[in-house]
Amino acid sequence: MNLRARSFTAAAIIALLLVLIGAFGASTSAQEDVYSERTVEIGRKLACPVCQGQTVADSHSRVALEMMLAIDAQVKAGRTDEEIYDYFRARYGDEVLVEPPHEGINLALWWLPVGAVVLGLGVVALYFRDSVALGRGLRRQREEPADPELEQLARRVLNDADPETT
Amino acid sequence: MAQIGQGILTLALAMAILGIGLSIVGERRRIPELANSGLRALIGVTVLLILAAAVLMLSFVNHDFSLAYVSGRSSTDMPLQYVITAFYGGQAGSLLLWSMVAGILASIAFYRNRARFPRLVPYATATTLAVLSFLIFMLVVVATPFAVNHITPAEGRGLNPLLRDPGMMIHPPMLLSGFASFTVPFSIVVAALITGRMGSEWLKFIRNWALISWGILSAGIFLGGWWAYHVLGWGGYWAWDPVENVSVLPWFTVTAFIHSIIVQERRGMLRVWNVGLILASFVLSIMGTFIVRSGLISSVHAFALSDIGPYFLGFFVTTMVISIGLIIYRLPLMRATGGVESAASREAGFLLNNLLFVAIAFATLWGTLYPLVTEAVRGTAITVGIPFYNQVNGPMLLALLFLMGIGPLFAWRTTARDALIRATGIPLGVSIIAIVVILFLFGQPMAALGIGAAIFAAGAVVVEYYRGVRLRQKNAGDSVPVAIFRLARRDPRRYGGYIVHLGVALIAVGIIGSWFFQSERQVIVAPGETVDLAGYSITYDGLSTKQNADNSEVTANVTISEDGNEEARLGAKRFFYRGFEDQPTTRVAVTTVGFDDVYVMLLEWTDDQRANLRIFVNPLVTWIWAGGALYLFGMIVLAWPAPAVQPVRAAAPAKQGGMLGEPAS
Repeated sequence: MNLRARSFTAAAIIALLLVLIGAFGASTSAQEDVYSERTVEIGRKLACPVCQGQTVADSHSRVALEMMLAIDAQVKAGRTDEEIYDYFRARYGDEVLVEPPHEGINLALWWLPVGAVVLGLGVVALYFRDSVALGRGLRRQREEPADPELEQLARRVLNDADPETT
Repeated sequence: MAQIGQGILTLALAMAILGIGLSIVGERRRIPELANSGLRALIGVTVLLILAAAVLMLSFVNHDFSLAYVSGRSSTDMPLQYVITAFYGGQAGSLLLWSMVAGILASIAFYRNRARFPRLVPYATATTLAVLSFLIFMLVVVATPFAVNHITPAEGRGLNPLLRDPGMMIHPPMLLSGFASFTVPFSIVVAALITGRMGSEWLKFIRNWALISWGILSAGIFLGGWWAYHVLGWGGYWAWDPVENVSVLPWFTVTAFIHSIIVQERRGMLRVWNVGLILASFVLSIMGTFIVRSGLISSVHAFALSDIGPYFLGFFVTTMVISIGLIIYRLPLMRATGGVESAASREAGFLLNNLLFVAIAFATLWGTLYPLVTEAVRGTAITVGIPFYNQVNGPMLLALLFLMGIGPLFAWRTTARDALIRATGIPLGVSIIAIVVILFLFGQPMAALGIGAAIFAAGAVVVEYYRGVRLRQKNAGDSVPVAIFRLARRDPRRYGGYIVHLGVALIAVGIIGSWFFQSERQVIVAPGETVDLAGYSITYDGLSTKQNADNSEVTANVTISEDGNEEARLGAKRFFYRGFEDQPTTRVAVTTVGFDDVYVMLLEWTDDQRANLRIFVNPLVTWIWAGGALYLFGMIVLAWPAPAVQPVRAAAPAKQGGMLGEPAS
C-alpha cells in the first residue's frame, strides 16, 4: 500500500506507458504470481520444521519450498484451509502451526497472561487503596502539626523528599 | 598463544576471587586500604580480561589455526573485518566479550564513585567480582577460547555466512554489552541491600547506570532489527523469535525501572518494586546470554550449541535465590514514605506504565518458554509464533502508547481537570481526526487506533516543549531555538526523555504502517519482464555472477520505477561461501521511494536466466530507523551530564506551571 496520494491520472499514465512499451515488444508485464494469495496466507501460518523460527512462506529452505508447493497444489485442488492445516498437522504435529490451537493445555498459553494482567490490576488497586490512606495520613500530619518545631522539621524533611511541597 | 591466553584467564580468576575477599573483609573490618585493594583487583581483572581478548584477537588476525576456536570460525580467505567479527561468533568469545565489558563498566562506575559511596562500593565490587568469577571460571574450564586442536588444520572452517555482514560487526557486541552492563546496577542494588543503605543518596548512582544499560541495550536491539531487515530477507525486522524476545525482556523491565525510579525519587514510593526491577533485569539478561548461546530454544540465532547449560542454570538459580533473600531481609528498610493521592496523578500513571511493561515482559517470557513447558508435559515442543504476541502484547503496547501521551500531562499528586483538558485538547483532537481519516481511507481499525495513539503521544511532547519554550521566552527572553536548547541542557532527563518518546511514536507509526499495509508478490520472471506492485514497476534485467575472495555471488539486477520514472537500479544478491555452499545468504535489494521501501529478494534462478523473485513494498519502514535515530539522540541528551549548577527554581513561576512546570530532580 502506497501512502502517497495517487490519482487516477497517475494510473492512466502507467497504463498508457505499459501499452506503449508493450507495443514495442521490449517488455511484458503483469506476471503470474508463483503462489496464490491464499497459498501465501496459509504458508504464513505454518512453521518451517527445519529452519527454526521462520514460517514456511518466509523460509528459503528446500523443505519450506516443498511445503509451499504442497499447499499450492491443495489450494488448487479446492481444499479448505482447515483441511490443509489438518493435513500438515497429521504429518508434522501441532508444532507446525505458528499459532497454537486454542484448545486443551494450550489454553494456558493464552489465559495465563490475561490472568497475570488481572492479578496485576488487583495488586495495583490494593496498593492504591493502602497508598491513598498513607498519603492522606501524611497530608494530615503535614496540615495539622503537633507543635511548631515539629512542623518545621517535617517541612524540612518533606522538602528534601519532594521539592514541590514548598 | 594458547598457554598465554589460558594463563591470563587463570590469573584473572585467582585475582577475582582474591578481590571478593579483600572487598568484603575491608568493608566489614572498616579497613579502607583493604577495600581499595578490592577495587584495584577489579581493575586488575578487567585489564587481564582485555589482555586475554587481545591475545584471542591477535590469534584471529594471525590465523593461528592451532586454536580450535580460531580454526572453527575463521579462514585465511575471509576479509579482515569478518575475521574480527568471528571473535564473538561463538560462545567462548561472546562470554569473554561479556566479561570484559562488565569489568570495564564496573571499574569505571565504582572507581569514580569510590569516595562518594565508600560503604557501597566495596560490596558492589565484590558482587561484580563474583559474577566475573563465574564467567571466568566458565572461560577457563567449560568454554575456553584457548583450547588447542590436536592437529593444526591448514585452513580454518570459516565463519557462519549469516554473520558475514556489516550489521553483524556491531549488533552482537552491542547486545552482549547491553546484557553485560546490567552487572553494574545489579551490583549497586545488592550492595545497598547488604549494607542496608537504602536512603535516597544512592538513587542517582543506580539511576545513571540503569540508564546506561538501557541505552546500550536499546542500541543493540535496533541494530538487530536493521540487520534482520537487510539480511534475513523475509521483509520484516522483528519476528518475536525466542532470541529477540530474550533481548527485549530486560529492556521491558529496565524501561519500567527508569520510569518508576522517578516516583521513588519524588514521592518515596515503590522502593521494593524498583529494587525488584533491577534484580529482574539482571536475571533476565543472564537468561538472555544463556539462551542465545545454549540452543535451549530453537531460533534463527542459535549459532552455537553448547554444554554450558547446567552451569548457567546453576548461576541463574543462585542469583535468584540470593536476590529474593536479600529483598525479604531488607523489607523493613523499604517502607514507602509517600502515598498516591489521586488516580489522576503522575504517580498513578507511572504505576500503570509499570504494570503494562511488566505484564508485557511476563507474556513474552511465557510465550518464549511455553515450548519447553509443552515439551515437558506432552513431549512435543509447540510453536509459539507471531500471532500470539500480536494478540497478547499488541493491545498492551497500544495502551502503553496512549499512556505515553497522557502520562506527561498529569501533575504529581493530583491534576486539575481544567488544566488536563487544556493540555490534552489539541493533541487529542488531532489524533481523533487522524483515526477517522485512516479508518475512512484504509478501513483498518487497529492501524487507525495505533497511529492515533502515536500522534497523541507525539502531541504531548509538542505541548510540553511549547510550554517550556513559552516560559523561557517570558522569563529569560530566549529565542525559540535557544529556548529549546536550554530546556534540554537545564533539564536533560525530562526533555531528553521527551525526545525519546517522540522517537518511540515515530517507531510505532513505522511498525504499524509496515505491518498493516505491506504488499507482497512472488513471481518468476525472464530478463526484460516487469512486475507491478503497489504502484511500482520492478523490471528484471537479468543475472550476473561474480567470484569474490571468500564467496561467489549471484545478482539479479532490477530497475525500480514509479510512474515511469526510474528510481533505482539495484542488485538482489545471494552469496555462496566456501564450505557453506548449502546455506547461501541473502542481500536484499532495497530502495526508499518517498515513504515506501521497495524490497526485492532473489530466491532461485535457472540457467536460462529466469529468476524467482519475492518483492515487498513496505510502507513507513524508514520511520522506524528515523525514530530509532531520534531515540538514540534523545538518549544522548538524557545521559549527557547536566550542568553542575541546577536551574534556579525561581526562574519558573511555580504557581502558573503547577501542572507542567515542575522541575527536575
